[in-house]
Amino acid sequence: MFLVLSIITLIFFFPIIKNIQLSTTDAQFVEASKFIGLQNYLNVLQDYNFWHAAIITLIYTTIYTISIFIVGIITALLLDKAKGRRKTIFRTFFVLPFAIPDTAAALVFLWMLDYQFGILNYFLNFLHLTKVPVLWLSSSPLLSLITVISVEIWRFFPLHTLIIYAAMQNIPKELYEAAEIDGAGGIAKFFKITIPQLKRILSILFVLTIIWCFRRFTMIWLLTRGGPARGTETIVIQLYKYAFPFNKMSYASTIGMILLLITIVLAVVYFKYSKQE
Amino acid sequence: MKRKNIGVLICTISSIFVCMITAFPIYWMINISLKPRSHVFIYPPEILPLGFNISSYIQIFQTGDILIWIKNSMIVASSTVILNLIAASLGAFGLSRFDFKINKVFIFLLMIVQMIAPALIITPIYILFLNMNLTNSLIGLAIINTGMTVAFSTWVLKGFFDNIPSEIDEAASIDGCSKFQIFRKIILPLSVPALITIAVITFFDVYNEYMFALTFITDQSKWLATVGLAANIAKIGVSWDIMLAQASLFCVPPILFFFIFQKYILKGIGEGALKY
Repeated sequence: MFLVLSIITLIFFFPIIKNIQLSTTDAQFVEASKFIGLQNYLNVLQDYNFWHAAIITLIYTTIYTISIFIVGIITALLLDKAKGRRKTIFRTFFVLPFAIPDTAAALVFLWMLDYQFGILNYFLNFLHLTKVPVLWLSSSPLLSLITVISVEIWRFFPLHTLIIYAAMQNIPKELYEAAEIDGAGGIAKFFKITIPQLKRILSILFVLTIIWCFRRFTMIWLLTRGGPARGTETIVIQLYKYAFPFNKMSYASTIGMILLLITIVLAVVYFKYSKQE
Repeated sequence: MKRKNIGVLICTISSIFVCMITAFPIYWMINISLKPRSHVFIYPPEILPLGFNISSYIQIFQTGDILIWIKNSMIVASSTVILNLIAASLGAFGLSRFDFKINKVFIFLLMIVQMIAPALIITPIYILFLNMNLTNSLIGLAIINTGMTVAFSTWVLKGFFDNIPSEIDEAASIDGCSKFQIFRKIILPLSVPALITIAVITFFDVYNEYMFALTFITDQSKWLATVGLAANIAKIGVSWDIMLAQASLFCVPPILFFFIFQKYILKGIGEGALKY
């Protein structure tokens, strides 16, 4: 057992050590490279594009986290309120996007968001909300970012719904009964009982959501490739672009190391939260 | 009483609305794939199905690319699941039943490993795989995917093993069972539900994985379905009905698994996900 564990961790930590080594060289691809110390780190930190990507990642993470929590809490409440067979049916439907692979989802959404033939533009036009068709993924950077986030929320909200819903089932029913006797309405019950009772699980989920944001690649890559005008180029997308189309391995590794540092800080925060039981 | 009924009505209507939003893209994918090509590029789009026109499916079956890609995806995903189950169950047994001092360190490391973005290690892994001749190989992909998923599985399984009372182990060891026999004959049969949960979640993860598959496989006959599908976007002249027919076909295995193992998935995510 001990051996297996050691092997697992070694397999995983070897790349990180290799990454540290790589980030201190000037390797372009696989050919021989020479040690250049911390030069790459200085270059990255002075690179305008890196800071741009960092800001995009920050905006992306903020909007994504807030919206997915709102959607997750509302859908979990809806599931909680539904009764009997309806509950089972709703739950199956709510979790459905979880079974659709990212690539398939990205393809459908690309077609649904199409400028000319897309169903979304048709609906909006039909409801007289927009006069001209909207270029969802290629006009303004901010609009593209929001579109990408919406698609990702469609794909990933079931996770939040299920976790929050499961936590809601653990709230003692007596609390609600007592509140009803005191004459509390639905909204008061939600803010005075549900949210405080869920506080711990929500805060853990909050840190995890931020960490998951740093892992997202597929959806952004397929929908926009980081464009338009780098508007959706998060740090992860930038790292991948440097590594593969541009073959700047050492530079990509350096960005990776900076990302690793941020992740470790978040991991420590997470560890502290989950220890407070 | 009347006010309560209105509340229930509002909830039901909003739930149905959410269901429509989640189901619509899936419906749309299948709907477009079943249209004759002349009806795909049409404005306003026809929302209701026109009946079953399977010409796009016939065409993709004749070309056959997508079948090979899905087969490759299935090979990678299922071998990852097997490797993952072996490593994670042994690892979790070790963490749960042995009192090594270093266990705590391992638990912390496993947690960090889980949180690291896959993109972060892609450059060193790529160089490593080039040196070991593991690029363009499905086995290589299965190995790296196992590395990416095993930490989560170990976590979940450890939590499950911890709940199996250790008195059972003691009784068995009095009867002369070795540690490994306890693991094989007692712990494993008792944890079948947890094993199914992590197997399904791992399968979903790996079947969905795109970045490693994109980077490590360049030989078109070894492409995974995710890469094959995505490559269509950049290709000129691939019609949307073909693309979405391929996507629908690609979604069949996970949707099937989803309905068969729904109970385990819901339980695994809802309760298991936050244990670690």
